[in-house]
Amino acid sequence: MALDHFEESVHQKGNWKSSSEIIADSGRNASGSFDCNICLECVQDPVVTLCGHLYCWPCIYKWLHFQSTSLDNEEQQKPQCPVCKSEVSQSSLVPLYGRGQTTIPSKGKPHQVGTVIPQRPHGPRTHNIRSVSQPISQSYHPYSNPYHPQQFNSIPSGYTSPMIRTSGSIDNTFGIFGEMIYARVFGNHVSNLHTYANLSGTSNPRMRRHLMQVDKSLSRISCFLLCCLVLCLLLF
Amino acid sequence: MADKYNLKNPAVKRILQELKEMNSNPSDDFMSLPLEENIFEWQFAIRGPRDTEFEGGIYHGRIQLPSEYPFKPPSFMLLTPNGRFETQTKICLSISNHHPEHWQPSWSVRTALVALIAFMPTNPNGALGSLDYKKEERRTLAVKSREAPPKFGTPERQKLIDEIHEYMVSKAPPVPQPSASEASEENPRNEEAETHANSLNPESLTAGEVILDQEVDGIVEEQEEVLANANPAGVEASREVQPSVSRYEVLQKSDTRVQNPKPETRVQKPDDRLFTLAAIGLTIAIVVLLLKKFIKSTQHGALFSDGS
Repeated sequence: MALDHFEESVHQKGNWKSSSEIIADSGRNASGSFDCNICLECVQDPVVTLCGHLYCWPCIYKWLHFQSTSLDNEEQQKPQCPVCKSEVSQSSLVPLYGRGQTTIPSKGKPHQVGTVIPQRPHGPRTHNIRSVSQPISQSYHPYSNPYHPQQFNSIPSGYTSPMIRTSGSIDNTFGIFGEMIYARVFGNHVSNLHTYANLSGTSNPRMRRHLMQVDKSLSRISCFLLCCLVLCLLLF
Repeated sequence: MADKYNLKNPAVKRILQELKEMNSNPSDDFMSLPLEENIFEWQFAIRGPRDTEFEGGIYHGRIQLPSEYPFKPPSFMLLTPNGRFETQTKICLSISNHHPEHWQPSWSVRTALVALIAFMPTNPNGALGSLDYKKEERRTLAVKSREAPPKFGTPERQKLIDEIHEYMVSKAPPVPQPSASEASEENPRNEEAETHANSLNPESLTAGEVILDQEVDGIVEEQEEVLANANPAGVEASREVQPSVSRYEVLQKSDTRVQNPKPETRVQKPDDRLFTLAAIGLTIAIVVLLLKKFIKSTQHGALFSDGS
């Protein structure tokens, strides 16, 4: 009797082990350190939060939407990281890209048949490229700029563009209009400079102080030049 | 076996992953297995926490996982009389479906069972499905719980319950002797909680900290990972300190990042604009001077013509 019962229990355990082995074959992960914290499988379309926790994009998207719909009825709390409960939003997620094409596996394996899951949020690098190509656009996200790995390299490109535009606008409008050049040139340059200034990424406080001093001295020089201009007009 | 289940369902895949993990890292404090016919129905058994009146007891229960798991919490029902939770009734905890707003998808059946063991010595405070028996009655129920598993459900489920009970009896130590029970009875509950925190066993540390810091339920998952890796308690303590420090640093960094762009904007914009303004001013001044000289020459010519 006891032996039969023991054999039955061993058989049942064997069944569960066989199912786990099948899962292991499909999962193909030995370490487990790069698994999604929600579905516990090898991560697909990985995104990482500001607190450093890794998720599949479909899993965290579903959780954010589920939490927002359920919490709107009760307390209207902000969505939280499932692991450490810090604040999480869809815009603060950073995608991770590995080698190979990323679009094919996401299309080939639709994670959720019922709900439509949008594409992953773009990384900060893509956002900066867009802003450079479209200088007039006023969109600027403070969180995305610090993560740009080559923020110092983008400064010279930002500096050269307005000078070219400035010289172009002067050459074009000088011959046509007389006194109207003044207002138009000032208006155009102010709007352009406003967009380019946002790209600067100097984070050193000493550099900031130095730039502030330079700014003050330049303002004084500009005032002096304006006074000279006024005097010339009056005398002659 | 796996062919029976729909592997495309994310809930089923998640449950199978949890099952694989629990089979690869078994624990002496609890055991749980799903039914063969329905993977969303689990049977579990937990051991009473150490240094309490529940020590030595083996308490069976049932877990029902929702179809939206892990985005919705499961429900728990105890089957063995224990003096802390009612039997045949779904219990109300922060990890059960009575409070879906507190559930986190990173939690699992494993973390839920560890939390359930930790909740046993706590004061029920009139929660739904809770009982408040005396210590002697709880100890009597603990002794009785080892003798035979409860009768519940279909023959297949009963077979699973018997298997789990056999495993737990072989793993769990017996109920302590009356002398030890007298020593434990003398201590009040607060000191029992302290003994939880002070004990050297990492699993008991986990249980104690769950009692003390229920608001920080997220750490339970991290501690489970530590247990799975079989690290000593010292490493566990150091890991617990690091996450809070890193969070503080992250907050500081985020604050500085938020403050950064404004002064940079002020600095760069006037610089470029001032250069442009200076150049334009000089150009206009030169043009005006040339115009004035031209006007004077024309007036001088006019004067000469009037004189002649």
